[in-house]
Amino acid sequence: MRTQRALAAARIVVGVAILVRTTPLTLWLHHPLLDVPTTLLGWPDEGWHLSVGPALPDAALRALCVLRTLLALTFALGVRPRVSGVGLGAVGLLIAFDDVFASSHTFRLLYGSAIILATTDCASAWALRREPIASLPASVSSVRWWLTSIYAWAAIAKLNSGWLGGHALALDAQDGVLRAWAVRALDDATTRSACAIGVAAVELGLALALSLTRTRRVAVVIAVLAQCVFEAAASPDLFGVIVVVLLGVVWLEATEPVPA
Amino acid sequence: MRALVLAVVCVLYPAATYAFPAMGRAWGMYASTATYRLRATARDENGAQVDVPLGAVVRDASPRVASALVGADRWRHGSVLSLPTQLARVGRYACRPGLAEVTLELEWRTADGAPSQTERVVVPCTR
Repeated sequence: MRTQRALAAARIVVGVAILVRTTPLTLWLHHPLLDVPTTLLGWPDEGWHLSVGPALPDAALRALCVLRTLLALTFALGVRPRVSGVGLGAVGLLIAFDDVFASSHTFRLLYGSAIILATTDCASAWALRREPIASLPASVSSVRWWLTSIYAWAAIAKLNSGWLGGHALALDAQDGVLRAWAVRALDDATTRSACAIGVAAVELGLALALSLTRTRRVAVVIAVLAQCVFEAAASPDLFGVIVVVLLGVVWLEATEPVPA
Repeated sequence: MRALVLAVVCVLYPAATYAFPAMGRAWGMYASTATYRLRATARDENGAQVDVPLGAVVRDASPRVASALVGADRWRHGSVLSLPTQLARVGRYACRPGLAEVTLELEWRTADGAPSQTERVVVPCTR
């Protein structure tokens, strides 16, 4: 039952987070760095924007924004999450592709998580329409592979001299991305380089450790600590919150046998 | 079905963002910051050179586009991997009545100390 509840909690948190971050409800977060949508995030009356492919017509964009809100609500409530979760992720990404500067890593994490959770038993508890369990071990392993891939790709993106030499961190510090204490701590080039190498090593290590049964438990602990440090240093939107909720699902797998 | 979704979301989509930079590199948090500068010039219908302030280009832009481009006439920092492929679109929004064509030149330096790169587009302003 704990695994079912953890999956359901992840579904609710992801659904509610999308609902809040794509609507003026973002105001509730009282986060000074977050832009608050005046209508719905991606709504076409905000001015011209740059899209990955051909720009969507305004009417289509409005319809997709409304659909995303409805799907986020139904996903959070647990109404046909297989359909609403995949639809929510796909529609969210479609809107994000229409505005390249709006597709932050947090939104990718949220939309991707909705799609991944949609393939799990996330509606077997705490859902308006509870669904029978298909396979809890497969559900949990889907969440784990999702997190593993994020850490692996994050490490791959950092395996270059710009990051490992600390130069990217120096630009981030100048750009106001990091909190004041982090800027002070990374004041000299040697510390920046050591920190950058450490972050890449931790992410690579987490990708490996999460995929191995014996190291999974310690990987979850280190991952939560790492997210706390990232949150304290850069406060990256809701990224850390969502990752920690998903790590909660993996923690159950690492600490107790998941019922088949 | 589950394996297919995992393959698409965990492998194919992030890999695609490396092939198509306009999508924005997946999970490249804090690692894709670059220094960049964008200059806009134009020729009017008589062929005379005209300066185009970036403030005028982004006047009707969404807040997110504006925050990425405002002040970029001087070197500034940010994640601009998607911008080189989008210059022609920015150029179209820079067109004003009386202008024949707009030239945008984006220079950027990644954090790895590599030589700066330049992307230049000339956009004809159609009436």
